[in-house]
Amino acid sequence: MSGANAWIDVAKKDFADAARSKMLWVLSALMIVFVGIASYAPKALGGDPDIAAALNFMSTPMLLLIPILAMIVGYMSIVGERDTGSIRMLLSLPIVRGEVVLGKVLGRLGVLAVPTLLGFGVGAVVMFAVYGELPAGSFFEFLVFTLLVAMLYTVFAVSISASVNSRGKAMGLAAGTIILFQYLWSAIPIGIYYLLNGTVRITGGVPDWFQFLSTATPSASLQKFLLMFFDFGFGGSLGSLQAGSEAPIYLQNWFSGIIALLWIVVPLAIGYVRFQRTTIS
Amino acid sequence: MSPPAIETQNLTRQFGDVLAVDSLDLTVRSGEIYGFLGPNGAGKSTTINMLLDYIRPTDGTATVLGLDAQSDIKEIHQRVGVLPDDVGLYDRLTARKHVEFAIDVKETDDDPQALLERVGLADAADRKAGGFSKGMGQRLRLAMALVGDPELLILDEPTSGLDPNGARELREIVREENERGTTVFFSSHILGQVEAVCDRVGIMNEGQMVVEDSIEGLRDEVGSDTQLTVQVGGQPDGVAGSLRDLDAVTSVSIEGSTIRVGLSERGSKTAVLSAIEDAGLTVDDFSTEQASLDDLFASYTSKGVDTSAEPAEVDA
Repeated sequence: MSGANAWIDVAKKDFADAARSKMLWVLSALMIVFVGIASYAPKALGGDPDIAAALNFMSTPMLLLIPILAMIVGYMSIVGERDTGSIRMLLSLPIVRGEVVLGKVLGRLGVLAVPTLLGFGVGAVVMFAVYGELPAGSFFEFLVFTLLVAMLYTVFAVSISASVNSRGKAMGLAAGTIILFQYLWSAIPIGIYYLLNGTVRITGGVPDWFQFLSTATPSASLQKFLLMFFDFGFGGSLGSLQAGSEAPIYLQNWFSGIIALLWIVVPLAIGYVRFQRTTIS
Repeated sequence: MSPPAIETQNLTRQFGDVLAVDSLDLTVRSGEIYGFLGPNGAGKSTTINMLLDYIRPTDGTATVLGLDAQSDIKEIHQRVGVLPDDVGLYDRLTARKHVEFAIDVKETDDDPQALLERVGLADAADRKAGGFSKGMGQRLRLAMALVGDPELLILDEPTSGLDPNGARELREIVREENERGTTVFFSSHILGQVEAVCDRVGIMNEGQMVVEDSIEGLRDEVGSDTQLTVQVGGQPDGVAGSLRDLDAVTSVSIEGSTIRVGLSERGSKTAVLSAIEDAGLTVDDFSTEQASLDDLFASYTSKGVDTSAEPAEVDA
């Protein structure tokens, strides 16, 4: 049966379409400028910085930036084609709806990954020029982490796009996702603690469930899981989620890998099922 | 004996209170050109959308090339060429890229340039679809539908946006494809677009198939009919019922002060005119003409064309 790899065709076409739009070039310029400046910034701020300082400097803003870019890149991916009616053309060919979702995730991930790689490439050159050493271990650890965060949020964005029937709803859900994970999430464990104890002053050590919730966001669970393989040795907050060996199972680093996986599988399943059931007209 | 190209049984789709397609039994035989007619909103597109799995039926079944339209989507779409209605193109991709995409997905070895030449777009092959006129877009969609030499072409309102020349070229392509063994299922709200090429036509109205026949059969049916147009003084709204009761009257429609009456061969003009006068109206003028296929089409789908205050339904 031919057409078995239709999702690859969808991904390729999607990426080609984006490459012809300004999106890919604007994102590339943004990432190059951002990583380039962040690579140089510690030097400009004085002292005797090194590559670790540069990575440390860029890690927090990068983790804010990538999810937002993923949402911008992905939220219209499917609902936009429903708006213009081109989804009817896709589905008139031997492409089933699941392949549209999968192809869109890959295509949009490419649209985010290529600028990220370009940015890190330019960053590496800047780092070599400024600090006189070639970026090695930590640099690649941070790059891999950044790409995986991009993947998690691209999956979220495309799943949102598959689930809804209007641009407005997609935009609202995409913005809501960012606000939830980047701004509101930290208030959830504190709120529960307040309800249980009538105070926000944590005494006698942080409860296990509190730790669990705090590190359950897509980025944090991924980061905690990656600590099994990476040391994120450039300092900053990325290396701080190592679980103690006596911690309960759900606080172990490997368990965070399952949570990260759920952040991929659950949105994708919801998006797929809703898209599968919807009427295309 | 190959299975029917399209077969629906009791196919039904309800949207809220609206029965868009009502227990449709449709059979398109392998090898024929079938014209699927009806006014806008008759349920044609909903039917086609169900054949393509864009919409799921609320009841009934549909098969395409003997395959289940809900479960064998991929194989159906591999073997069928589709020109869906109201389909968007990718503004930033060229005509050639569109055709290449269809070729990639169907994994065929078609030559994109040759296909674009067939639909008259060879000169625009490297232009982006965003700048295309509606007619050019429709030609491009047709080129994509032709990829992979499909066994069945499903064309939903393919002539919309085409100028008369484009519509004629489309009919030529339909005929050529059919000569190569392709079954063609061709929807339109304009009879004139399909009568020249179709072996059989089905006319839908309000979700139901109201008539299904060959073009010759339809001609036979109209051949004997006479259309009587009467200009009256006064309000003719109340007269429709008594006219319909007359022997041999096949249709009545009222528009302002004009009454149109379809009469079969044995009908009497005099009887119609006296009935109008009996209703207290004066006959200012009248004319007769042989009914055309278009009149027949209009009579089957009168709700879409009649604008009289009292809906003048037709008993054919």
